[in-house]
Amino acid sequence: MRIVIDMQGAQTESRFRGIGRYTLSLTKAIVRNRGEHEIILVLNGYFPNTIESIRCEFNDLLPQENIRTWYALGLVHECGPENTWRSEAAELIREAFIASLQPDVVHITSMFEGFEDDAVSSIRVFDQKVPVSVSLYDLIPLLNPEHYLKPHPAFEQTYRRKVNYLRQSSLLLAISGYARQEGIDHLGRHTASIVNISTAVEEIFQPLILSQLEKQALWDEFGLTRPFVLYTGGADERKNLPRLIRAYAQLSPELREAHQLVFAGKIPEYSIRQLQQVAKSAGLCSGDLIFTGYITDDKLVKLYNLCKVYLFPSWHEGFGLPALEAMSCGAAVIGANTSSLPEVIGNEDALFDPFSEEAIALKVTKVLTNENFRQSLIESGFNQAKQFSWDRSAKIAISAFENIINDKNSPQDRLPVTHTLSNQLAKVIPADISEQNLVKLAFAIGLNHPQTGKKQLLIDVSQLVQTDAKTGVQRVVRGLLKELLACSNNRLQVEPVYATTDEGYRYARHFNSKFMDDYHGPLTDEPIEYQNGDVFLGLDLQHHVVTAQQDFYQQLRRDGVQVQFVVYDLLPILMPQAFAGAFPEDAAEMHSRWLAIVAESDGALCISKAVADEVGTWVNEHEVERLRPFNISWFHLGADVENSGPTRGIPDSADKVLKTIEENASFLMVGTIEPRKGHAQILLAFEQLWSEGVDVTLVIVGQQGWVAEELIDKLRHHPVLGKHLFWLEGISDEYLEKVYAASTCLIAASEGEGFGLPLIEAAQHKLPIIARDIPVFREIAGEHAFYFDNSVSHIVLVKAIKNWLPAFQSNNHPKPGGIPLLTWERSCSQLLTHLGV
Amino acid sequence: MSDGFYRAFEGKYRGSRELIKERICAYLPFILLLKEIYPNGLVLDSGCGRGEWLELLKENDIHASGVDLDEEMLSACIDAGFDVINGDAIDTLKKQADESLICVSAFHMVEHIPFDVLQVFVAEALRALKPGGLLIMETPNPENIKVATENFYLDATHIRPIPSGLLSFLPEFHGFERTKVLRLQENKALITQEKISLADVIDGASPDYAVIAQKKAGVDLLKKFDDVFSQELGLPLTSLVNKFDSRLLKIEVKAGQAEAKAGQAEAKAGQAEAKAEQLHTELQDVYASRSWRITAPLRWFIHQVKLLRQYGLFSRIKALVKKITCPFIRRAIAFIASRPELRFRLVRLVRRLGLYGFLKPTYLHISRSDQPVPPSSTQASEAIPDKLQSLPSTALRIYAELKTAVEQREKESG
Repeated sequence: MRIVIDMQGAQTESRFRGIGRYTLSLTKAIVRNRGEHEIILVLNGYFPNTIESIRCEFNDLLPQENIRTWYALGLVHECGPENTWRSEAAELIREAFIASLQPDVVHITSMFEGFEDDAVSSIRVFDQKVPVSVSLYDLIPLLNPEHYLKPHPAFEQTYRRKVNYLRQSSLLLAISGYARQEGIDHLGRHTASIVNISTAVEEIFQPLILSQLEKQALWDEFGLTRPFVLYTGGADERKNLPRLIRAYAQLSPELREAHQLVFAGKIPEYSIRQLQQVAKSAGLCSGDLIFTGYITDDKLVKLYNLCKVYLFPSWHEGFGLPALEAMSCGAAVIGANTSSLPEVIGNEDALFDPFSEEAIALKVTKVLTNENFRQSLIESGFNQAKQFSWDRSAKIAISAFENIINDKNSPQDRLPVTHTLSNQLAKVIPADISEQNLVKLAFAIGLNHPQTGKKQLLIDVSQLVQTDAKTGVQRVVRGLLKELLACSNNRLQVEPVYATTDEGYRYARHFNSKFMDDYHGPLTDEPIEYQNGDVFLGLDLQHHVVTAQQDFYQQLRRDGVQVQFVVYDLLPILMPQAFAGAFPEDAAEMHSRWLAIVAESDGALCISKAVADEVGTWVNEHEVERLRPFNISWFHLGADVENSGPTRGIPDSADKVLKTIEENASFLMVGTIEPRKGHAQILLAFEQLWSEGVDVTLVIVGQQGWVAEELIDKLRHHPVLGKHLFWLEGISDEYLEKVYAASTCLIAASEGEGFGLPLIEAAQHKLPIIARDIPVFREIAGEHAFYFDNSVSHIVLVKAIKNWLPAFQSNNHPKPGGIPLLTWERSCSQLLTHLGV
Repeated sequence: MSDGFYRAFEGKYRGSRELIKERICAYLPFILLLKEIYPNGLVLDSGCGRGEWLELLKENDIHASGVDLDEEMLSACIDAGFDVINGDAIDTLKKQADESLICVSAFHMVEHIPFDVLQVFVAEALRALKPGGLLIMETPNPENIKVATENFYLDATHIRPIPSGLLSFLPEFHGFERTKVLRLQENKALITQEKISLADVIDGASPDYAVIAQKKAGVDLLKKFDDVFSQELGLPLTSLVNKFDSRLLKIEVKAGQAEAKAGQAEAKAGQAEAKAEQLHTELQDVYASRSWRITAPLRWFIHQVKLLRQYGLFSRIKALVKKITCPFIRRAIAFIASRPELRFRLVRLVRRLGLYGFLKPTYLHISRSDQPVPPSSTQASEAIPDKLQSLPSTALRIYAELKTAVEQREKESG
């Protein structure tokens, strides 16, 4: 059985009150006790701030695909008459969305929302077949129209409409036996269609042992000086507080002197003044009454534990949760003998007539003076409290659901929901609807009913689509993209996408047709469509686009799309001096901002364990707002050049150069000339070697990078350039292959790297490696490289080469054969595993 | 202390000759009166310094001698031809005969001598003066806070500040007929200035004052001096303090008034809001009323007539044509937009025909809506795009479906 639960009760303002907590606790219990059944939670997309926290609450209980968001139009709150067509349209859209999930049962957690906010609920407006169940909390406005309905005609109209929806429901889950009876009496329902699933309290409400220090702190905070009588809750008329105060005033002077009356929780200023007035007229002193104002749950629990007696004089309740909370904490509870309280308190001796001050006073006196009586109340209350548990309520609810499903609801051929929906909508949309509203409607419905069929893996290649800068990152992107595109099958569709700083994401179809040889798909770059369960991979490195699209990634996550980013390195942040002056903006700040956005998403896929550790450290040091867990994983890159779309072209001068390289002991450095790659240090070392007459050649392959003018100058005008020193600038991959083949050894001198592709490439060409001793190189090459200490002095390197040469001559040098080589295919499958695809 | 020191000090801090001469002109009225009565009278200046007072007296044809301890100061006087003696002021005064002088002056002298010596000086002055003669003593005014705390002590040879109450009592006690306190050397502008600052309170009072004491004489003689003795000069501290205090008071009052005004404004705004609410409700009632709804066709007609009159027949017809044809054109555009292949071919055709440049702006104009966007209240609705070109394909199809359905219904009902 598939149960769909509408969670708006936990999204509106109600989420701060009893209804919100009830919704969350009950739903969690239902999910825990679901057994074989499938549960889907649906959330209104117009409360974006609530979606992440709900997803987080259920992260361990339900797969994220079982939490779906839906959208209608904004501004549907009932209290504006110009919104009528919008709310009617929203009701249709919501029901159509739920119908498309093909549920067996739909449960609405709170029907009476949407007066001042954008919540939407209805029954049998669109779909006529699926049974709908609704939580019934109380019918207080219906039963007291003079007080709640007549003064607010707009509210009355909406309320009565919602009551009518209640009548259309197949099942009502009442929070107490009393609420159930109200439903039977006033909604004209068959007794079997209302079930009492009762209520429970959260685990935090328990008996506590408080230290003297804690007690004193609490007493000081609230101005308590004597043992106290406690009340907590609202100040509506039905809560009966004035009578409570007058009854308290009737206690004997000794009792009043020895106790205080405490009202815990937020009560509006106006009501406080009123109650104080009542107290004054009744002859109480100002110190007798305490109003605590808003109070956190843990302090409330302490107050329940410390009070002498808890008093609940309300004459009309749906359940009366505070009484149960107090009993769970081991307090002595006395309450009214009307509405739901008798069934909650479960002890006749604890009840009194709420309309009689004498009765109240009598009961309070008894509890305060007769310790045996008080203990018996505590005991009976505590045992009574054990009867109530969320699991118990959930099980009753689930079996009630099982009873109302019908078999006629098996999947059948039907018109696409959207078609029916459009026709229905046409009846409520005004003829002069603005173009923008129509587009918005269409977009919202499109979000609710995506037609893409297959699960999508959306790959962000925003940079590659604009230009191929032939940097290391771009080679990785090309390599991985090629493999990922080959992974498309009948269950997964891999799509490259791109965005700009001004516009949202589109399918990079034009780019794809040029990148892939056998591309058969459409050619226009349409805006992307996504659905629950898709995966978004930020593959490219494009700071500005990511910063501009920050909110969109959160939107994706709210709508159930997993968002992860590939992290290449943290070098601008960890080595800011190497990037200073390289970019117009502060590189460290830009990269930090980018990393913060990554940290808000679902995970970071780092290209080495070293980078993964760095990311972990950074995340610990920086406060990032997030609720669901952040997954840091790592994988290694592939090294097969022929599979990464290499470039070609060899100049004429190449032959001579290659010959010289091959004939000598040539040491190769591959990489853009930037400060952190260590070229300057290596050059100094080699100059020393040359001055000592050591016959070695240095080959530098790489484009001119930034902050390297001095070094470039030195290279260009070096005396041994062309004889012992070669600088090959901007050569093709094909040429580079040959250089590798002709060289003797690779020097990896970077002070910081994300991965170190040259190491892998050297290993492929069976070239021995001399590497700086940094964690990432150790990770990649292990023992199969010769290391020199990570120091700024070039002497270290001179020594290293001097030590290596004899080892090489006698074939005792570390050989690269043992370095694990990955193909792009293997690298890609590692990546996909981490994505859970 | 060494002469060198004092000379250097005087060089730095003593006012210029011209400045001092200007200041002591304040005493001229008194001296000239004395000259009238005693044409050949003699003035003795104790501590004459560089002789500015002697010079002034000479300029006014009054006989005067000076006495000072400082030789170098005196050399200037001798060069100028004044009658000066190098010696102690008190001893010199003691040597004068009874009733031989019309005036004994001591400018910034009395703060240099011990109090008991000052008493002797005053007593001797009384003896040596003719009837109606004047004793003039000028000294720094400790009423000025800056003087009393700092400036007085700049001269290391000053002993202690002498309040005017004390200095004016001395001659009275020793038998002079009447005394007058004159405050001097203040910034004249401050006397009338209303906006007194704290700085003014601290150093605005007259920095110097003089006590002028007169020896007993006949009623007629004394009467001559009544005028000069009754003038009020100078700037006492109390007047500065009072002005400062009243300024503070005024500021407080102003602040109070501003608060009250703000409170009133708030109340008014509240009233206006309430009124607006009320009117809004009333208006809603009117709109909801049957009579309003019944008169809708009439109002529409009147509105059309007004438009006709305003814009003329031609543009009304144009508007009508637009209203009828635009839905069709829009539908056609939506139809094309949802079929990429067709659109691609159509665009190619239009390009070939050379009509692209012409048709594109028209197309854009029609597909753009010119109705204002209602502000959305939630984040999510801002994330939902409202432009046709931002719609992905499914949404585009739904858009077309909706459009068709709405127009279908309109056709059926209209």
